Amino acid sequence: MRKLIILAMASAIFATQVGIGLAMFDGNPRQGRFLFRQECRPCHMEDATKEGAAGEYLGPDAKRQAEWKEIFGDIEALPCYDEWDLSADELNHIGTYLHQGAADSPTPERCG
Amino acid sequence: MKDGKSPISRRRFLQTSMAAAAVGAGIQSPLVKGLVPRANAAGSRPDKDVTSHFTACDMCFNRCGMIARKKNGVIKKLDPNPNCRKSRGMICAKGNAGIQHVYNPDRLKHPLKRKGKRGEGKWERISWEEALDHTAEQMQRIADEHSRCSIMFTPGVDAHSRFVEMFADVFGSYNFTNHESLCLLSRNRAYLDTFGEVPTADVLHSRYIIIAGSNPLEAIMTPDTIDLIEAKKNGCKIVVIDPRFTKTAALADEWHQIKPGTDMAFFLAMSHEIVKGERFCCPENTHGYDKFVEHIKDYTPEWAEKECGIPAGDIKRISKEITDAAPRAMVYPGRRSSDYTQSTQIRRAMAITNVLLDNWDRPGGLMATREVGVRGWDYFPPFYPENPPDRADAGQVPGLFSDLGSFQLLREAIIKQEPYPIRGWFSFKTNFLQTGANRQKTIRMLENIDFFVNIDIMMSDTAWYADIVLPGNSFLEREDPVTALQGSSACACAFLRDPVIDNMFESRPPLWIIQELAKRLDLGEHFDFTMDEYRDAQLRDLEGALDVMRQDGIYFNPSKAYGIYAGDPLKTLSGVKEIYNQRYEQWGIEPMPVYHPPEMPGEDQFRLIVGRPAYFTQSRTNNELLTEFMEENTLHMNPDAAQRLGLEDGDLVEVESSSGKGRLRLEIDGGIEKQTVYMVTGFGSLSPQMSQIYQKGASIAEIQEDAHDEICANMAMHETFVNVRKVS
Repeated sequence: MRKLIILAMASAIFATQVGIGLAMFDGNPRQGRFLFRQECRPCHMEDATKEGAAGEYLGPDAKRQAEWKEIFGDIEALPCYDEWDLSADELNHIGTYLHQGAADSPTPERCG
Repeated sequence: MKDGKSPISRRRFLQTSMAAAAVGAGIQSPLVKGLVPRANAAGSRPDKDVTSHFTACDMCFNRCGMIARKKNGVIKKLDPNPNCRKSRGMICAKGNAGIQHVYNPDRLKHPLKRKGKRGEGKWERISWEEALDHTAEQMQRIADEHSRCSIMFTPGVDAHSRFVEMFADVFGSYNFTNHESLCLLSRNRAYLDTFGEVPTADVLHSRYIIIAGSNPLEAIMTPDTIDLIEAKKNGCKIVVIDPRFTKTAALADEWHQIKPGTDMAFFLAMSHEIVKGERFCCPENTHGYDKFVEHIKDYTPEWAEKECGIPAGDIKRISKEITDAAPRAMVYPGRRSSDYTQSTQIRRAMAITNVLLDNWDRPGGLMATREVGVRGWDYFPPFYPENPPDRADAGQVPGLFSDLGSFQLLREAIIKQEPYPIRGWFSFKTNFLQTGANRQKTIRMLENIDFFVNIDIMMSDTAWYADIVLPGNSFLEREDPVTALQGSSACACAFLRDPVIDNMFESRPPLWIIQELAKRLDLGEHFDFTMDEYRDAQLRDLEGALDVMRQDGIYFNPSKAYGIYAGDPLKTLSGVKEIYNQRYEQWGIEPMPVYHPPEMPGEDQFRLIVGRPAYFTQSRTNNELLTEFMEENTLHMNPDAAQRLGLEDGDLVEVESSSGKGRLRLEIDGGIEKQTVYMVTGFGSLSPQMSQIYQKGASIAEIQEDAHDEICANMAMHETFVNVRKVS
């Protein structure tokens, strides 16, 4: 029981930190681009061959800044969240990349 | 003609280009018909030894469809591709002269290595192997000693520039810029920040067009230039606002001479009139309409008359006329907007007038980007954690495009070596020593560049200052990737180029050069593809498109032209047209355009404005067939001003600013504003190997002072005041 409480507390602290970090979108967008291509593109592209892949284009310009903010505000809700092995910092880098190049950003950016 | 080397005679060239220009102007006189034999006009050739090859022009950015006629391995003639809707089946004088681009005696013939001081002109011929090895060694050295971002990459307008961009990305430098910060970024900024994207103009179906600060009848833009004439024939009214009586003004129904730099006053007053007349139809699709009504209440036509010189009555009448014609009416967005430090806000005022005309995504108005269907090449650049966090020009203006930056700000960063050193320059087909304001500053920048490699077809002024000069091949010797084009209401299209002739001399395609350098830098895996593989990837969603391109020279996607958004939100923060820009407010700049009177020249000074004629594209003047039209540039001056200075037509004058000076002949011009002088780009070359323009006329880059737009750092080319004196 004690272990469960500690785990729950640790999870809560981690989730809060992730939430705060991602909401700030203050990571390195270039590292985020690299990580996005490495971790996300294999599934999130039109002609993805990976089993269970989304099979649709996803890149910074696929969504608006508010949408990226909403997604990263509740990142654990994403169905693929459990498949990642990314730190909070790395998620922040990816979020920063996507947010900075969103469709309604000052410099919309396409991935691939 | 030099030694009879060109395969086309001057007489023949002039005949055909005059005919092409006349046909382009919609003239169907017997004279024109006489100049263009029926068989030629139809694009056929009776000579069985002549083979025909589809290609696309590269003499400017328009990419008009062409057919190259070849006989015995030599290109004899370039004809328009009648299938090309974007160019309406035509090519201009520049396109005709593309043949001289290929067979120009000034072409670079083999790799060169600088021996003397920069600009001294001492060169050593070296092998490709040596040139590539040396370039790769120097790039690696700079990366090791400083960082990968310590090399600036600057590709020009070219189908292979995407490979330079990819090379910069893979190498690890984000100090990448191109001609756009000398050209159209402030227009792009303004429209992106108002509509969420940069539109094309549906000139053909418009009923009323205001053209301000743009001259599409000379600075040709297809299909707009041709469509303007057709639109006028169909009853469209054209109003030109310009300090100079341009060729576009000559076509127009009305020309209003405006004081340079005051266009915003005109458009704010127009907005005032449109709003006051309650002719505005859709406040629900805008953000900040009520604030704007309050904002412009004092910007009356009477106020504007005092600022811009256009009578209040005319402003009121034009406002009424254009709203009567709306939504098939527009303020033409134009292209080059690199004029004033307020250029983004000036274009914002124009864009907002378009908002009030409710012409977005509608026939005769501004068009959203149409689907072409050409896909990108997916690649995976490495991440270099040791790199600095951002571009060297970041953070100095609020609306910098983070992918393109600004040549002027990068130049400043290189001179100061802040925020970090940039010690290398990789240039392809850019000529900043002819196009970047304050040429002496660019030369000073080079003092901090340890290694400079330049790929071009000729020894441009910029190549003249390089350490290694590599001869690129021409567009008619090339295998190019597929290029997608927006052709307004005419089309959304794509084309490719295959070589018409073999590489001349030792010239090589830019992609090959990059592939060879990448191999030497252990980055070869990123460029391990053939052009066929690249094209297949681009066309993976367009089955049969390649066959169509081969058969017709061009592929058209019958995609939706109007109503593309169909009620979907725009790509702005608010999702609607942003009259009041929320991001500008966040950036701490004026969310709606506020008029600030421009500084005016002193009593004995003139404002220098620049442009290009229909025969040249910026600095690409070194073409004997085209300099036949204009051997050197002149300084246009109002007759009253000339009389005051005791100057006569044809006098040699010296034009001097705080940045530099140049000498050229005076041309008395009754159509130019009294305190304004005008000259065209592309003369006064420093490079003796640009034989047609070397020391002929004056270079704009030598005279223009160093100013840029306050929001996106687009160059401000009309902020220079000059003194003019007769050279005895």
